Amino acid sequence: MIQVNDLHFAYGSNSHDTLRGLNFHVDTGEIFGFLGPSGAGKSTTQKILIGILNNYRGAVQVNGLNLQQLNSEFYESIGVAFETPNLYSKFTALENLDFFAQFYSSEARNPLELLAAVGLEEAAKTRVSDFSKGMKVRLNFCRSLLNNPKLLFLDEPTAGLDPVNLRKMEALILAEKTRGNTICITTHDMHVADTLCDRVAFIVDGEVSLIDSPRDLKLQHGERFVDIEYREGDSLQTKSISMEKLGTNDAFQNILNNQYIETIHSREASLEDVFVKTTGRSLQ
Amino acid sequence: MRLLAAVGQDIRFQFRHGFYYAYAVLTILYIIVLRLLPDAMVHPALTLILFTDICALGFFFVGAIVLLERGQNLAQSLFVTPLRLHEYLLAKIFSFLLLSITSAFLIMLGAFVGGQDLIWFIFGAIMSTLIYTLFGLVFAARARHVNDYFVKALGVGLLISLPIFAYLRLFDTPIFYVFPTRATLILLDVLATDYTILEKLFSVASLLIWFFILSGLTYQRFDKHVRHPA
Repeated sequence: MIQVNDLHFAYGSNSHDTLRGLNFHVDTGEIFGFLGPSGAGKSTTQKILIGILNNYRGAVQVNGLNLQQLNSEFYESIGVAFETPNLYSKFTALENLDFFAQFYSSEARNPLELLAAVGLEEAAKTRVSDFSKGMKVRLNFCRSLLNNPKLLFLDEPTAGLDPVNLRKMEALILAEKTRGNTICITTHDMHVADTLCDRVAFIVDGEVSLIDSPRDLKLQHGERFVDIEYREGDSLQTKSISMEKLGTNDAFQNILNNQYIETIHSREASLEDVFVKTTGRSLQ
Repeated sequence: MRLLAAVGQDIRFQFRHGFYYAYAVLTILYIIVLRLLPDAMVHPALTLILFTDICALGFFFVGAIVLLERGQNLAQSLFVTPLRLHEYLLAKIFSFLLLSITSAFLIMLGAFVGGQDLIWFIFGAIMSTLIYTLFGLVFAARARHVNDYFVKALGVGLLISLPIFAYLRLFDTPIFYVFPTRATLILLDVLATDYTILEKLFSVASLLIWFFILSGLTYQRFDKHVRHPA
């Protein structure tokens, strides 16, 4: 779906490249995440992929189309939700969606159904200027889905959402994947990357240091131990046991059979651990 | 279809941000002023009022609209839809033309002004609106803040308005014929003053040339600073 080779980009007359030789591909039907701290180059990469920034160096193909030859046909099949919600503030949610829907030649999704899906049906006739940040983010997401896009670009799609709406948004993004659509997400939220992405690319200082699935990364960088917390009388005990031949491990079997276990966890790394270990940087 | 949708939205956008109210108040004020003037002064006053209304106000208001849009980050969201840059710009121009020309003709009607050279006048009013809208767009394309825009627009607006001195018979020079305002003032004044056919044709040609130059410049500036900002 997307093929990027040796991508370089510098803003304005800046001699320093913001992107420095990016190479990656995104397969059809996958959720691909760009994970990195602020200023790493995630949004810049996305802006190149959607044709906003065009004076890049390197080769970028989206859906077999060279981005230097973009036409309005390209925009018929993509959906974009920017990090900063860009909506007509003096217009209602429904007016915003109705307006943008008119630009597409194919039949648009029902705006009221989209608003209901993100829990904004009650606010359909409320002006966007009266929306909270979270509401704007959800409306922005609705707009990106209007044209049934085969390729969806979401920049920090969960920023400003409360836990309930965060889960709702994650479910909606996964629903788009089950429809066979390809999704590119940029985020600095480890939970989002871990929960949603089939593969993530770590970006720091305009370079991709690693691309893999979150699960594989966590396993590769974890330790093959289980940590058990259990009660022995009144005292809390902890024990770490190797996962090798765990079923026949006497100590493990003894705790299982004779103690009151409170927690038991495998010791895979968190995605954040992997990020810090690989890039030497934190995500904040 | 996309163009119609964009024009409709720009008209609603201008309405919701109070531009139609501002023009309505100004139009009524101008009509009252014209009705209070002695007959002999109505035509020259009308020329100056329309010049101010169409040129100066249009110049400033179109910039304000673009900057209001920029404040809401709207351009980027429009350019990731099938809407093309020329459609976006035409929507701005058509919607502003409607606002400006409606105001101009209401002023004319309110002041009971008419005459046999009406075709020249209408052409002048339309072309002047287009040219000053384009001037506004050229300067708004790169402006980051309202103050930034108004400082630049005020400087350029005052500079290109210099031929007003010739109209007021205070000072004249052939250089003024290069300015689009010279042509504007001639065509907006045809109902009051007898101009030769050569002067009228020159004015039409001048406005057409300015229109084509500014159209290209507007497209190029918006493509570079708004469509592909980097």
